[in-house]
Amino acid sequence: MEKHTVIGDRIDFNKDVETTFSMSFLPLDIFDNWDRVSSISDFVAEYFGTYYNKITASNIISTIFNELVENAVKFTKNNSQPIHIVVKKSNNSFLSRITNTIPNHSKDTFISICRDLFSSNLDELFVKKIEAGAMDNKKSGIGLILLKKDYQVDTSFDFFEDNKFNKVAVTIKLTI
Amino acid sequence: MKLEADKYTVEYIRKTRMITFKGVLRLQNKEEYRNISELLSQAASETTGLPLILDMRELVFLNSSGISSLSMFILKMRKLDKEIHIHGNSSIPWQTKSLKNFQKLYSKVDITFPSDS
Repeated sequence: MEKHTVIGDRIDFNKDVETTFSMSFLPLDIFDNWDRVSSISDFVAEYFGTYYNKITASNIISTIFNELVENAVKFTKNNSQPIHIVVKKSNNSFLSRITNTIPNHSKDTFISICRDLFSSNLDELFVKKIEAGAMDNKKSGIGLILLKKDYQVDTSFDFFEDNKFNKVAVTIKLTI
Repeated sequence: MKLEADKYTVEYIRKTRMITFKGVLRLQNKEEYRNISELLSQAASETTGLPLILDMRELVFLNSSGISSLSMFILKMRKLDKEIHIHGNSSIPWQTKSLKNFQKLYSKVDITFPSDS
């Protein structure tokens, strides 16, 4: 039986879906071609942005989606394992689910970061992370905080095992 | 002093105490922002008396690594007790939503959206 650890907001990913698409990619050489993350985000934003009656919809979708894809690429355990993306439009909501592998050694840390998102004052957490991160040039760690705090994105994390790989599915719902 | 890449430019003009950001800044991590951080540090050290101005009006995207790197610069300015004025663009969502975070790090950050005035 699969063991799941689910953290975050309740999101009905299948309710009133009007349109959807999915894609998968192998993040093989993406660190050497970092603009591809932005290309994926801009494509999704252009595709879905026109569904919403708001002039800034594409820009907002691109901003949020880019953070999620960056995280998936950075956290993925094995570059030979695909990252799966599902995107949906439902009424005035934009939903996405991005699933990637994560290394064993960082699973507990990731779970702890996710729990902090739902048990902390996010303004205080932002300041704390920035002040703590002054010495760490690789990690930022504020992307998910900004999505929740500044864009009010509903977010859910599902950690599970699949074919011996640890995986996380990050589901978001953005009201536009 | 000017940093130029395919997707962005960052230019510092000492005479006007202004750093202008244009384009899309979605670099991979804070290390990739090092050149920009160094430009900001130089501007910080050369600015005295009057506020340093960050013109963001044509910066369409800035990812969280960029916000993190700029936040480090804000902390540096806080340590130096130097003022910052940010010129934003109210039609660019990340600016209306996230620029205010810099004020949470340092009270001497002033943000204006000139198109509104």
